[in-house]
Order: sequence, then C-alpha cells, then structure tokens
Amino acid sequence: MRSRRAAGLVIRWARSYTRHLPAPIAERRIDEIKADLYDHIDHEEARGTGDGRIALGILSRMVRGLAADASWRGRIRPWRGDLMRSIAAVFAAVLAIAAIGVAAIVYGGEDDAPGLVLIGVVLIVGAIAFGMRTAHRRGRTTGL
Amino acid sequence: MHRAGQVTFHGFGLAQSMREQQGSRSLTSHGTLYKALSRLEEFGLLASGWEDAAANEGRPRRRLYELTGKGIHAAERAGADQAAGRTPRLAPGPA
Repeated sequence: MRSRRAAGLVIRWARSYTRHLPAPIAERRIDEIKADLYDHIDHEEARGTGDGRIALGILSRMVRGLAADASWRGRIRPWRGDLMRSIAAVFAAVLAIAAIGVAAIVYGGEDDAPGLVLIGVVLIVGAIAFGMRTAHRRGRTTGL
Repeated sequence: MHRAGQVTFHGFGLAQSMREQQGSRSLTSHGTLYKALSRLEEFGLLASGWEDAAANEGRPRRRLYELTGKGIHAAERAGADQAAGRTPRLAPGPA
C-alpha cells in the first residue's frame, strides 16, 4: 500500500510540473509515468520485494529526477509566475525531500538497514543545500 | 517486444534493462529517463507511439519506442566506438 501512495505522490509531482503546458505534452508525460509506475510495482512485487522497499525505490527515482524534470519543463515552456509563488514551490520541494529523508531514516532504523539511513541523511543534507543554493541565486537575481 | 518487424521498448523496460546491464541496484530516475527519450526523439533517433488499446490487458497503456533508421546508424556507430575504446557520441551532429 505504501508503494501505491508513493506512486500517487510521483503522479502529483508530474501533474504539478506539467501544469500550464500544452495538454497533449502534459498528458503524454503523466500517462507515461503512470504506465512506468504500474510496471515498476508489478515487476518488484513479482520479484518478492517488500512494499516499503518498493515505495522507497519509487521515491528515490522521483527525487533523483527532480532536476531533470525541472529542466525538461523549463525547456518546453520557461517557468513563469511571481516571485513569492516560485519561492513557495521551492520551499515545498525542500520540505518534501526532507520528509522523504526522515521517512528513509525511520524505515532504515526499523529494518536495521544502514544503507537506507544513509540515503535519508543524504536527502536531508541535499534538501538543505538545494534550498540554500536556490535562496542564494534568487537573492542575486532580485538584488535582495 | 516487436511491432511491425521492429524491436520496440517502453520506459520502464529500458530502465530495467539498463539496471541489469550495469549491475546497478537502482533504476534510472523518471526525470532523467523520459527527458533523454524525448531528446532522442527530437533528434530523430527514436519514434514513438501508444500501444494498441487491446494489448494493454487492463494496465495503463505504454508508450512504445523504436529506433529510426538514423537511430540504428547512431547506435551502430556508438557500439563500434565503444568496442574501439572511444567515447561513444550519440548527438547527431556538432552542438
């Protein structure tokens, strides 16, 4: 069930970065990711992988692809909107990555999996670094 | 997977196949995978289309990709480069 929730989160992320794109482009990307997630879960379940581990695999694929998603979106249609909205989006992304990191540490601790704990720490440190780098860049471009 | 005599593949199948070939534990991320596929399609190296509704057996329909003539040529050249120890170049021309 956790894997289905993780898949739902990936689809919500895909809907958010394809918002305001031409409908055929947005629908194609979302439908492709839906099929990918279905195949991913189906394949891992057939291999006997635990639901929690499948969920982490899905979330890991999402987090590792955030920059590529943003760059793909920006190439098709540059980001628009006011400064406060884009800051809110960055803040939400940082919180989401940090939350996934905390979840990985908790699951890793419960399952006695040091690898998962390490992934969690890397995600939290990465989220902080991403937030600080973005804030620094915004400050330079807006003169704040 | 075959369609009209051509080998076709889909996103997750490609990610899975790369994981096996590289002996990696993790799958390529969604963002990296689908961005790369869309770039290769823009370069004219791949063509894609949705699978037939009758073939999807109740699951979400897959986007199927196949190499174009230009893509087959680029793949052969990349394979030869790799065999010769050179870094394969997949872009169709100078940037």
